[in-house]
Amino acid sequence: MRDFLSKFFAFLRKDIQITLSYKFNLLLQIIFIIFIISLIFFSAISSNDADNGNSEFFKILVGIALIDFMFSSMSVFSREVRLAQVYGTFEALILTKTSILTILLSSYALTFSRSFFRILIYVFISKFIFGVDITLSNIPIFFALVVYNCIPFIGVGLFAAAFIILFKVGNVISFFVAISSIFFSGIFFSLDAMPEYLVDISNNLPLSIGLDIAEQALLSNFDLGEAFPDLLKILYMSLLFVPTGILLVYYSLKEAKKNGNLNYY
Amino acid sequence: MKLELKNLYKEFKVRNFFQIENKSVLEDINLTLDDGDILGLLGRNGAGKTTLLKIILGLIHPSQGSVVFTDKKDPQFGFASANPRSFYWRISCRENLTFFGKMLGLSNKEIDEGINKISDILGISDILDKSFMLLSSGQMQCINIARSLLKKPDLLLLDEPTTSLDYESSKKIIDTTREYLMENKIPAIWCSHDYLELNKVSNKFGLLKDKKFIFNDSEIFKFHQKAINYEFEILNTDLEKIKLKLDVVITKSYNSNHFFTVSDKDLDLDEILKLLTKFDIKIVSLEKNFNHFEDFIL
Repeated sequence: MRDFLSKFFAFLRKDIQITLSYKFNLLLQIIFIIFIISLIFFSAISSNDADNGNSEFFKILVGIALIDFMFSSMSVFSREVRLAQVYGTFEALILTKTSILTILLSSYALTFSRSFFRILIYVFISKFIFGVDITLSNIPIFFALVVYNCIPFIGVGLFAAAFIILFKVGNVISFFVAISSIFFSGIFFSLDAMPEYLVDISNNLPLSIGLDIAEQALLSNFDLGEAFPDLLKILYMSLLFVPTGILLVYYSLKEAKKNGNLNYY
Repeated sequence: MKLELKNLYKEFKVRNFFQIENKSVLEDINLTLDDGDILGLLGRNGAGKTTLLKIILGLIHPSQGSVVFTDKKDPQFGFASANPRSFYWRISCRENLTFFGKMLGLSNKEIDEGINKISDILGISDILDKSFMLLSSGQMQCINIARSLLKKPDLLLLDEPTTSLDYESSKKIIDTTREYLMENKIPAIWCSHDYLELNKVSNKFGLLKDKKFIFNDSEIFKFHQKAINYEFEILNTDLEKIKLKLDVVITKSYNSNHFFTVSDKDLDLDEILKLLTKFDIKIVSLEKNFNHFEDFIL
């Protein structure tokens, strides 16, 4: 564990150093966050009465923050593998005898921290600038739930990384999981418009479950016991996706070593 | 540590839409490397040198055969190639080395000591805090070698480490790396097309030819004896005599003396020396001027 953490923080430090070297990009990202928040807030306010608008705004904001967090969990591994293969650092990393899982999970360090801070910014701006009713004492639980809800996506992310190692171009897995999750999440339109069997599918998708729990977690009347059945669903999904993802990554690595294309994209 | 390659075969699957073909790259490779051995590995482009190195490194699985390390189950490899892309270009050399040091499982203290020691040996202390992207090719190559030595390797593999470097940079890398390897008795495989470079660093020579590995110490000996590898300096007055006896190429003329090489690849140095003595031609100087070993042997 100590070895893993040392490598995880080495990745984080290296990625921060690289990110800070692109100063203009950093500035644009900050401006973009402010722009998105203002856009959603004013569009929500203008289409509803003040109270409704406020809650609609809050729902969309939490939804976007969660999508950001979960999809970055899903896409980061394949993206990092692709970049490392394109840059040529993948073989150099493998040669250090660092396990592929440590490399993949550590490459998540910056993305995780960035998504974490982005959610924090969303929550604070919502609370202190736009006056959304958020219980600040629930924030640690909210974060814990967000991270917990991410675990199935980490599993899917490992599938995607295995796919990239094996087939290189075209990340079909992330693409389909992302679009179907957003479609069925109920963030952008009400699920009432859908046939009932699709609503059932939607209710059992990790994004929809995570969204419901996370939204509730920030409100004052949140009860963890009520969320328990949903948390159990996430656990089952995690138990299915994460070990399968790990197996697939090891299998893809073995195949790539057989084909001799470990360092090519 | 001893390295043994036993009956190693490698073939790759080549996919062309609906067809899959097997392309054989290496066949029946057998090789032994002892502590302190430096094997100079020659071979034409595409002969399979890099594939062989990657099989030893565990980055490519062989189709058949085995790579065995005695004394050490899971040895630490050092690997440096001519590819500078395996670094993070936007951060400094020190930050790069620190990062890879962490990946190698070194502590902060070990990393700092390692960086200082290796940078002293390679003479790169002044570029450590420069961004990697601002380095010249030679400097990048030095950092590449520094990384491969950061954690003392059990086996060092160098894949054309001096490609595209000028004479000075190349000499520096050859001399310092050789000294380090000899001092620490680290076995190494050094791939290059440059026989002169390998002649300086290696105590064993091998050649990859027609997918096979040939230990070539006997061929190397013969190669050394060939007259084509020498440049002779003679007096002006002897030039016409030489031209009558031998097929020669005049390479330069200096202070009324002439320098020549012989064209006949089959002639040995001994034969030429006997011939020159017989015809009373005085040799002012004799210098080694190696031809491409691969041209000789292939």
